[in-house]
Amino acid sequence: MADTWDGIREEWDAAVQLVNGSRSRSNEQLGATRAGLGLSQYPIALTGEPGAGKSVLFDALSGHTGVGDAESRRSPDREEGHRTFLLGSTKLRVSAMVVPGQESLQRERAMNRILSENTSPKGLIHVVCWGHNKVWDRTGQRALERNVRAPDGSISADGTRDWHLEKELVDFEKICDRIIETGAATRGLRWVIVAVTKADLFWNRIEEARDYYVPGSDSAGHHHSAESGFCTMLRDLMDHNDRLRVAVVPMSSQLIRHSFSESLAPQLSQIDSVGAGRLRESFYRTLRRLT
Amino acid sequence: MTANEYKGEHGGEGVAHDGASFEQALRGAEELRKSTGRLRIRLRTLRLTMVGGASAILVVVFVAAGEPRWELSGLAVGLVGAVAAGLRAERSVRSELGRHEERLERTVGMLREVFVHVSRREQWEKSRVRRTRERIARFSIDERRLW
Repeated sequence: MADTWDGIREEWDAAVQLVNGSRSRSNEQLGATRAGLGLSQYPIALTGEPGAGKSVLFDALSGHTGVGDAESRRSPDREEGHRTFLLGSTKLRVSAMVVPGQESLQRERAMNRILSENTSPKGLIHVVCWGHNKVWDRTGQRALERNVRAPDGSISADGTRDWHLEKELVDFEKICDRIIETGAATRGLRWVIVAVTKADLFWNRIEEARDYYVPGSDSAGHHHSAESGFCTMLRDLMDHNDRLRVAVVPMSSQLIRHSFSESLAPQLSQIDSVGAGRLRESFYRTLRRLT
Repeated sequence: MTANEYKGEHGGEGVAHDGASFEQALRGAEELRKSTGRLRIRLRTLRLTMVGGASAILVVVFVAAGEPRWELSGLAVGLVGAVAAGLRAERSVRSELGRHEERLERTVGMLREVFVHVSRREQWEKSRVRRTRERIARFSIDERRLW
C-alpha cells in the first residue's frame, strides 16, 4: 500500500510541476466533446460538502468554464447531466449526478439512488477544497462566525478553514462508510478520485494540502504519526476495498476569489488561467487512466 | 419551548451552541414545517375555491346574457364579492406562508451548519448522531420549492 500512496503523491507533484512550469506538457488532446451515437454509458457521481465546488468542477470537466465571481452560484436540488468526456481513443457518455452536499431530502434520495444495495456508479469524484467552502446562506455564515470568533472578537481564515475541515471530514467518513457498507466496490465502483478543488487559492501551501489529503509513509513504510484524519479514512477505505483505485489530485475549476468572512479581505487566486488549465489537463489525464 | 420561543441573543433566530439549544431549534423547525404544510393546504383550498367561484360567475353571466333576470344579477354580484374576499384571504395566507418558509430555511440552515461541531464537541453517541441526522435530512434544501 505504501507504493500506492507514493504513486498518488507523485501524480500530485507532477500536476503541481506542470503548473509551475518545471515539467513539460504532453501534446495529447484532452477534454470534453459533444456526445455521439452508440456510446456506452459510464455513470459517475460527484459528492462533497456544500460550497466545495462540485457543480463548477462538473462544468469544468465538460468544457463549460468561466472566470469571475458571477459564475459562482448555489446549485439546485440535484443535478444530473449527461456529458461526454473524450478520454484517449474511447468516447464515453458520462452520466454524472451531482449529489447535494446539505443534509436534506434531496441528498438522501440522491445517495439512495447512486449508492445502495443495488446500485453503484462506476466512478466517484469526492470534491474537497481544504476548508475553502462557500457558505451560501446568511444564517449558516452567522453560525459559523459566531463559533470561530476568538475571545477578542476577531475571525481568522485558519479558524474558518478548521470549521469547514471538520465538516468535510465527517462528510468523507459517511461516504466511505456507505461505500463499505453497500459493497459498492464489489458491484461496480472502480475508482474514487479525491478532487482537491480551488487549489489556486492556496497554491503557496499546496504541499501542506497534499500532506493533508494524501497518506504518506517514511522510508521504512510506516505511517506518519501526525497524519490527518482524512488520510486515516482514505487508508481505511483502501484497506476495505483492495480492488478500488484511488487518486488524489489538485484542481482548479474556475478562478474565483474566496471570502471567508466579510470582516476579512477576500483570498485571490495565486495561479493564472494557464495554470488552471494545466490542472484541468492533469485531472483529465487521471480520469482517462482510471477509466 | 416552541419554535416561536427560541430566540437568540439578538431577539431573532439564534445560533444553537450546545445540544440542548440544538434540540430545541430542531424541534422548532419540525413544528414550523408542520405549520407551513397546513398553510399550503389552506392556500391551495382558497385558490381552488376562487377558481370555482370565478367559473360560477362566468356561467351565471353567460346564462344571464341569454335570459336577463334580477336573481341572476344578484347571484353574480354575490359571487364577485366572495371571490374578492377570497383574494384578500389568499394574500394574507400567502404572506404568512412566506414568513414561515423564510424562518424555516434560516433555522434549518443554521442547524446544518453547526450539527457536526455540536455533536463532536459534546461527543454524542452514534445513535443520537444518526437519529439527528435523519431528522435534519427530512428537510428540503429549499422549502419554498416544495410549493
